[in-house]
Amino acid sequence: ASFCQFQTHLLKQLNNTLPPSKSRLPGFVQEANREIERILKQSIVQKESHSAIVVGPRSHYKTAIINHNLALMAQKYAQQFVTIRLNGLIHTEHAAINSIAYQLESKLRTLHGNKNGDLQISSGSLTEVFEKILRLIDATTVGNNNFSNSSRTEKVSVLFIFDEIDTFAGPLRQTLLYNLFDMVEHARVPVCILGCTTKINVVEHLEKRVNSRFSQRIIHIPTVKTLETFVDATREQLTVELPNEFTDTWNQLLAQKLKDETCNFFKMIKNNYETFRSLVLLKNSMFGLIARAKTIEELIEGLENCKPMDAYNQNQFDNSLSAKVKSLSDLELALIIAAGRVSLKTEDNVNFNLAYAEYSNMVKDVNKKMPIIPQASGTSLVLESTLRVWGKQDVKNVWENLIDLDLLAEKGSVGLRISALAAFQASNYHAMGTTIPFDLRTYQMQITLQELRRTVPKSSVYYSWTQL
Amino acid sequence: MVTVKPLVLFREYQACALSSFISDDPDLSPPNILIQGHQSSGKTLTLIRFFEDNPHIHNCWLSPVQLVTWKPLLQHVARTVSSSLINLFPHVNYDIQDALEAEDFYFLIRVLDTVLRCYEVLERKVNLFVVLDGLDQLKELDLELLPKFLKLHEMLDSNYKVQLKFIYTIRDAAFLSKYSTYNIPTIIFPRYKHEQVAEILLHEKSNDYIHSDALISKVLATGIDPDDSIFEQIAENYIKLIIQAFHSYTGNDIVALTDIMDSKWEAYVASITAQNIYEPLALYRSNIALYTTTGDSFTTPSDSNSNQLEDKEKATAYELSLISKYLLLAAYLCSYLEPRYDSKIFSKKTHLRAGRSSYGRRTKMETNPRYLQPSLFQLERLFSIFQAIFPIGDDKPGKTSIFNQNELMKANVEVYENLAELSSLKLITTASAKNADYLSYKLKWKINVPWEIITEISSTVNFDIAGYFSGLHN
Repeated sequence: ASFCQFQTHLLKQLNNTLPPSKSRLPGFVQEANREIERILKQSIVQKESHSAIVVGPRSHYKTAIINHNLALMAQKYAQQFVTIRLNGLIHTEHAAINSIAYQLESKLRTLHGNKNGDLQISSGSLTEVFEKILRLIDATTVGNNNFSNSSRTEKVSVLFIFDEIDTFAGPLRQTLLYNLFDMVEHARVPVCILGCTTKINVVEHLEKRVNSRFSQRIIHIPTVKTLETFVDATREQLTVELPNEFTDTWNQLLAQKLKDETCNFFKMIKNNYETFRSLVLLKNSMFGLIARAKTIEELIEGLENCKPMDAYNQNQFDNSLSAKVKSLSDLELALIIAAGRVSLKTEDNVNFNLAYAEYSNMVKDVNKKMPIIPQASGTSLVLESTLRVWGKQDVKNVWENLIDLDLLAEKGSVGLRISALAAFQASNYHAMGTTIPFDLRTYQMQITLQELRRTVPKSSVYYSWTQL
Repeated sequence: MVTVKPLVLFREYQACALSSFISDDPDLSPPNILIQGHQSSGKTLTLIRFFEDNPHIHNCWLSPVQLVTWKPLLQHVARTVSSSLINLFPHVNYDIQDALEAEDFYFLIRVLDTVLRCYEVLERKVNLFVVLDGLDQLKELDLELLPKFLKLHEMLDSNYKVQLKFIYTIRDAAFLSKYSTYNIPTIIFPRYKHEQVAEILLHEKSNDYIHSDALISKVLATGIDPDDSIFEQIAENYIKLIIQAFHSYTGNDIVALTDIMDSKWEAYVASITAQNIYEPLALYRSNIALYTTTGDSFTTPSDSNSNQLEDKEKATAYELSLISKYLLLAAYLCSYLEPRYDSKIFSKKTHLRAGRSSYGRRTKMETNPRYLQPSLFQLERLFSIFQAIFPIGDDKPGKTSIFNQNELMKANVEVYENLAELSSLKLITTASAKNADYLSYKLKWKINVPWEIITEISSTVNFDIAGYFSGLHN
């Protein structure tokens, strides 16, 4: 039970689900963390209005820092602010306005304990809703209308947390951002806007009038620069602070492993540092190690040899292009090599006819070179020494398999559309490729013949065909 | 951890990874889990087994392939979540939400928000796993759909008693690689290897075959009473032989191999006699035809080469008029022969006037033109070649007929009618598929029929089209 407690704690730590007082952020983001903390404090405690944009790579602690600070704030000043979360992917401009009203309403209701549930912000048409929001935030204090010029503590700060704020800064009008940033300047209610984005040039997307209202405060989340910081961050993420009999053993082992540059675990970290440089990825790979261990011995052993993490990392590549080629049957392999040869000859225009012609020639040539084994007399099986040439009808199935496995792609086709609207438009457009007969459709290779040569084992019958 | 690892053949790692990511406690499992594997790589099977072995973990399933676009997908997410919660906690007082209201991601969040708020009375936090089985099979898929789901948990309050966790199974590895920077925990299901396919099929199918009615009744009919081991041997031999014969055809696709096995089983059983039941080799020889053809076709009869059947097939394969058939042949010639050599090939008239006719092609082409896409031609060229190849009506000897004869076929009304019909049958198409103006002189045409069908058609009218393509290329 004690181990189970320890394990659960460690897993929560990996999952970032510990209570806010116990959870920690890695050291290298502390700089950004302090800045965000200051902004939040200024707007929640001192009731100032602020806006800032947090810029950092994907899955790089942007939301984590904000959530962490908000959770800490909520412990002390839960009555002082309401949070409104918007996501640029989920909310269109219209949905965002509705969502602001809805969230404001429900948050204020919980804040005031249901006593004025008749705020009626989220009802009415879109313009009405937006007007109500603006009036509510702009002019009056939230909640108690009779204290219209009330003291500082009576005011409730409104925090807007935007995820993917760059989608609101689109080419069209940017009304929402304009109004919200305008509130920061003019509203009497303290408004704080935090936007998260991955785009480093997010300010360039803002219109002039929007940009002039934005405070120009951009917080870049620092990234890991040296191996030491990465190792330190790993230590911080994995060190356990829990009154438990296993805590010391684990922490000591971890510290020792992180010092020893020759051990498997350190190599794993170094490998990650040199390729992905992502703590999240490291954590993902450690899930298996920690969750499957039944005793502390197993856990320690796992950390010693790093097998579960290795298994996770290897598993990520089990469906890579070369792994796919290795999983092909002999006929599929022959056909993909034939297609590769055709593509090299014809500047990357392959169709089924050409590939099949190449395939049948290939197999015939192989068969010519095969020594003819005189058939053994008697009742023994007749050994087929030659390769079978499959009929055109049968090879069609194989061709479709290859397309399905993404080894071939239709020429000039646009795979995945960027937005739902584009996908809808594409579905109304009849692609030329589907109207022409199966064997004449033009394809492109996803793997070239040179790459195939390196992937196909030398022992394969078709190896000699991997070059022209 | 209190999860049980399910036993699935050759999926130990995946089962292990599933049980480490999925648990009952919302704090211990990540909000999103991706599962990727190609067709028939055991994704759904392993997942189903996992939830069967862990009945305390709540889950609900959706298959996006049936939902076509994102809107029904969202509505079904809302509907499935609320209905499975009602089933799980019938004692909770719950006012029904209209799932069809979830017309947008924002509305989905609102619906889920109100649904989850009803379950605040539960005493402890629970997970509800929503499995989107085959997300990339959604017909109108776009790049932004998955991130919307990935971020859904941020929009729902993390203090709710019921936490939604999403599991996505995805076929396309390229789709997944577009989201690699999100660093979502991913479990890859690699394709099975040859030996693994064999073992799985032996494990799954041999029991079915041993106890199949066809086998038992056949053995009873032969009048012998072998041991159970013979049945086993027959079934296992059959499975092994089929895999050996068709593995290269299907690849490592278990579903395809199973289909072939099932389709040939009865023929295999029918060949069992008292003589060959104890001799696998003799049994193999007695139905060797089964292993040489896939039988993956609805048109070609598998064995009997009776002429009658073939003739009938030819006659019925394309019920086109004579004019249509010749029009198709002419269109094929137009698309695949170069116009500059037409006069050499088709001109038959002795020239009264002086002048050289074309010499024809001097060098051979690199590749067979029939392998490539058809080229476009003008309608005028089609009609002249049509006239050149259309059989001449019977010459009635007689004086008047010499002057009155109408030897060559003209492009009369029927010809145009037939051409229009061929075009609506998509056997001949125009350059631009949409809103083609048939009367425009700019419009160009092309044949839309492969070589195999053209040769079939030409043989029904005894026209040797292959002759026009002989000696064209190396």
